[in-house]
Amino acid sequence: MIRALRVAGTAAFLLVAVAPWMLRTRLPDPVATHWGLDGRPDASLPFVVDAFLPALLLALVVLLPARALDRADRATGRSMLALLTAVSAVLVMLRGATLWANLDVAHWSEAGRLTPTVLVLTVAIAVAAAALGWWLGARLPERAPRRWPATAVHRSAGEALVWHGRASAPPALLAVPAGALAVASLGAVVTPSGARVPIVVGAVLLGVLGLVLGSVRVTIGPAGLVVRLGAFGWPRIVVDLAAVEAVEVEDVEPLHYGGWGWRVVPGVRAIVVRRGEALRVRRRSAPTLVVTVDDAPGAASVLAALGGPNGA
Amino acid sequence: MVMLRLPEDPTAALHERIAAAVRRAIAEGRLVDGARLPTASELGAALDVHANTVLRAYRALRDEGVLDLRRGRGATVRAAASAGARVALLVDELVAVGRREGYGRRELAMLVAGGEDVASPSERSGGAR
Repeated sequence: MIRALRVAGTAAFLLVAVAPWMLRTRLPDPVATHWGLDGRPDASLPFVVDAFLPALLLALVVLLPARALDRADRATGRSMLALLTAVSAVLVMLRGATLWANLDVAHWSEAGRLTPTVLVLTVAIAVAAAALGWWLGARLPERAPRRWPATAVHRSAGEALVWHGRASAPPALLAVPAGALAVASLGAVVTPSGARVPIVVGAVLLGVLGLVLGSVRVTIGPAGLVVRLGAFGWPRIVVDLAAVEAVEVEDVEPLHYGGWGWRVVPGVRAIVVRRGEALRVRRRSAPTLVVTVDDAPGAASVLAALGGPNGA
Repeated sequence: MVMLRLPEDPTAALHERIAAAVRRAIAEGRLVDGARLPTASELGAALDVHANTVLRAYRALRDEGVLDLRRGRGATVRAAASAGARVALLVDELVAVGRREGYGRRELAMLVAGGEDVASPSERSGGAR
């Protein structure tokens, strides 16, 4: 059933990508792309741009994230599936409606009206699609993250140990905000000037977010565990050795924590810059801390040794 | 990833212990060429010592040709450091063992140079410690 949904998604993408080209001789150029509150067309785009953007959007916000469904645990997968089906339905509906309105008119300003009925219908179909996705999501397999306890490295009495490591987001992941930025910039060029300021502000925020959450540095020593985020080494999380209850290693799947970044889920704070090995620290009277870091077993073995019976 | 071991040594100053720990990590192959050490302030925070103490150790290591120190880039292990560090570590160990067995540095140096007139400690009246 999940596979059927995947096939449907790909079909929707092809339909959205190909339909304008098949109807090209019956469409004006430029085509009407925006309708005012009165239902009349009030903005247009060259045919090529209008044909290209919805397919790109569908690929970026639906097909690309959908690939992650294979790794999602059931709870996350259900929400994802509901969201993805709803977004696809909206995109397909709007594509259909705008093509329909532009069909067989000589100039874009003569395009048909987009009535409130169309919008209500779109919302209704989106809700139905979300419900379908949610219902189908119950069939996703349950996946629990792999984790195992740390083995403390040998430490002589009075010996101080220091461990330092880092982790970075994969370049492909940073390409997502970069791609979104490119699309936003393109949007800024073709949209009325009033929309440019929020787009630029959004782009800058996205850039800063990428710098802060794109990498992490972890230092462990007699003074405790310090986690520094991103290019500025700020914000940081400090854990006293006395607050460490148990140290584990976890094979992190970002979707388990709802994605990348600084994740807050009940009982856990997770710094996720990539998938894979992570240090997991159960804290006394504080949420468990999970930090993705290269050679997490090494980090865990040192932290376990420092917090062990030898004291620190 | 960097793992440093600072053995308890009440006689050595902190910055010397830090430098020795870096040398040892390189000699034992735990720190490879191009490895990036934590910044002075990061290592200082981990050990609960002032960043200047760490910086003093890093500068000494730079002067020995073990580290590259660049502003903003932090400290990296130099390509040629490993071989030198391994020899330096073995010399440290030799000196330590020699001291236990009653050899002075000069006697050890002569042994290394291939001299033949070094008496074994047992044949001597009192070893200079």
